[in-house]
Amino acid sequence: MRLIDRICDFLAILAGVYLVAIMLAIVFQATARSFGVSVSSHLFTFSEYGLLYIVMAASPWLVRLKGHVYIEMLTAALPKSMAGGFSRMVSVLCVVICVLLVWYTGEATLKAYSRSDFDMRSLDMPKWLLLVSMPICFGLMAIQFSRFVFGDDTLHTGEAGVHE
Amino acid sequence: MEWYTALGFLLGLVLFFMFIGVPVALAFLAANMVGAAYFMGGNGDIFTQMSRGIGQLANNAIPTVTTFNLMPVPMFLLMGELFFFTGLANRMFGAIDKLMGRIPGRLSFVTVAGGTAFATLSGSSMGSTALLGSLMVPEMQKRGYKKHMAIGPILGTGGLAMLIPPSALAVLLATLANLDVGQLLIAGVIPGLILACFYAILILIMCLIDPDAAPAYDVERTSWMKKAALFLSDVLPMMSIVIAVILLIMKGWATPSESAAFGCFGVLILAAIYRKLTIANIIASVQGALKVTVMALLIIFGSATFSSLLAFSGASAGLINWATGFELAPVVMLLVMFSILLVLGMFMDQLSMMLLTVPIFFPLAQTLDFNLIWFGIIILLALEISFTTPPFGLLLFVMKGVSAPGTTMRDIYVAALPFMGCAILLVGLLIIWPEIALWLPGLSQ
Repeated sequence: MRLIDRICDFLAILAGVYLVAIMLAIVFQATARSFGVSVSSHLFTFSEYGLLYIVMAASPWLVRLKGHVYIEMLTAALPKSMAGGFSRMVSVLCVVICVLLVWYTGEATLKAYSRSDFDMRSLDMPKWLLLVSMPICFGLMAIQFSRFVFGDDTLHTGEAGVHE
Repeated sequence: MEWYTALGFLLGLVLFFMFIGVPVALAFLAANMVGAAYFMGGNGDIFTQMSRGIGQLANNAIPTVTTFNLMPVPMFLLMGELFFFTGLANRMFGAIDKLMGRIPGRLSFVTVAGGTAFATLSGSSMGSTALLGSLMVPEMQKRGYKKHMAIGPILGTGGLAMLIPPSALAVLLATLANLDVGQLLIAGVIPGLILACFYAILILIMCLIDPDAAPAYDVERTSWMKKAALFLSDVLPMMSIVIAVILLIMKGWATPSESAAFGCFGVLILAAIYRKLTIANIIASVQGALKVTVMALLIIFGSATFSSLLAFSGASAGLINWATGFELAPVVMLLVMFSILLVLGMFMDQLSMMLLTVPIFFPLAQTLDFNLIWFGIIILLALEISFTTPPFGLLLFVMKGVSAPGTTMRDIYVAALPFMGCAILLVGLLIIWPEIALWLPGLSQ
């Protein structure tokens, strides 16, 4: 689990660096344009793709921090003796959803690779390079959610409200 | 399948998953997986349907998330976090505190003025409320303020962050509803400022009715020269960045995404000038911005197919035909939509509410010939009000977290109500005079 945590941390750091790089790239591009200097439009396209990569890279890290917003109504209403078990069942459901997504987005990635699909913008980006981030992300998310199934900590706090 | 069965099935699935406590992004993903397999999977066994449906979902998610229109979301969040972690926000708040003289309810006014400024800088209602709560509540209690005078203004101004640019939520709404991001951001300026004025008037009235609620106290006298210097050094530079961002969008000199990136860069430079820029501050800011960005964009990713499913299953068209079949006056329809948002806000977060209602409300608003920018502002106000709607409004819980021990949820509910009333009054004014929202965007066209 420690290795997985390190991988998730590393991906989150990459996402953070990408975020700052996008900010600097946009400032550079807009400044250059206002001085009449043309800059590669690929910079713009990679900023857009960056949004997908950032989300996919940092989502597993955010699961560990319980940073994905969720609503507590049922777990808060249940008696304490049942709430913990129920929370673990919900975490199992989260693992199942993620595993299904790993399987089917993985399949979509392989299909895109075998068909040589492209996402056409300022450059023709092989679609599988975008799609491949999904099975990796959901795979790591499934592992992180399993921490709330088998570990000491549960996903839910037992306090009613919207948590993030 | 009939439209109402399809609608009930799709909405029911999302709500069920949310109700049992599945994170919102996964709730949408799970409902979309089932919906996509059923409505878009075509013929064949369940695995073939799942494969086609989820494949479609994954492919739809790429253009939904990788759009330049969404770029202001992480940029505005990063800008706010930089303001917060470099201490520039606190510096400005301290200056506003000193600029305010000896008046009854002084700290409540400081909260509204400083909170409005901070809300514009941060773009995050939660961050704004948490900061104001931890900063102002202890001081207010020390000065003998009653609970409602301490909590109410913080809850009210916390919600302003949604309306006054830079607002990450306004960008998300504009993107989801296919509105001009810049126009919606600019349209929020005047209603936001009017709301801040309403809050100030409300505090004044509350102080007049019950002077003991917020007793006056002696403060250190500051000369006009000192005040002017303080304003020039600690308020004007920070506000200039926000005004520059708004002007860049309004004048069309830069896209909202570029303006937001310039805003971030401006804060970095300002922090460097004040010698507050450290690696630790930058890391903390990026981390904070990353958390909210990833949380919000994964929900957008998860809901990518939701509006397509509603359209594909005939649920959107069926509901619109049914709703317009009653031939109710447009204003009544508006109030019905507004009320639905308030009810949803009692147990749901803002982004989920938007994702569930935008695919239905905006086509309906178009059918009713509403100006969609004006309608967007009404929706943002509804979201803002629902943020403080008992029992589960998110800001109420943030407030509880930073309030003094012994503060009950009832205290917080009671304090929130008059400020909710101000926002509802503003909605009324917007319905009577839509120009309040549309005048400024009109100038930029």
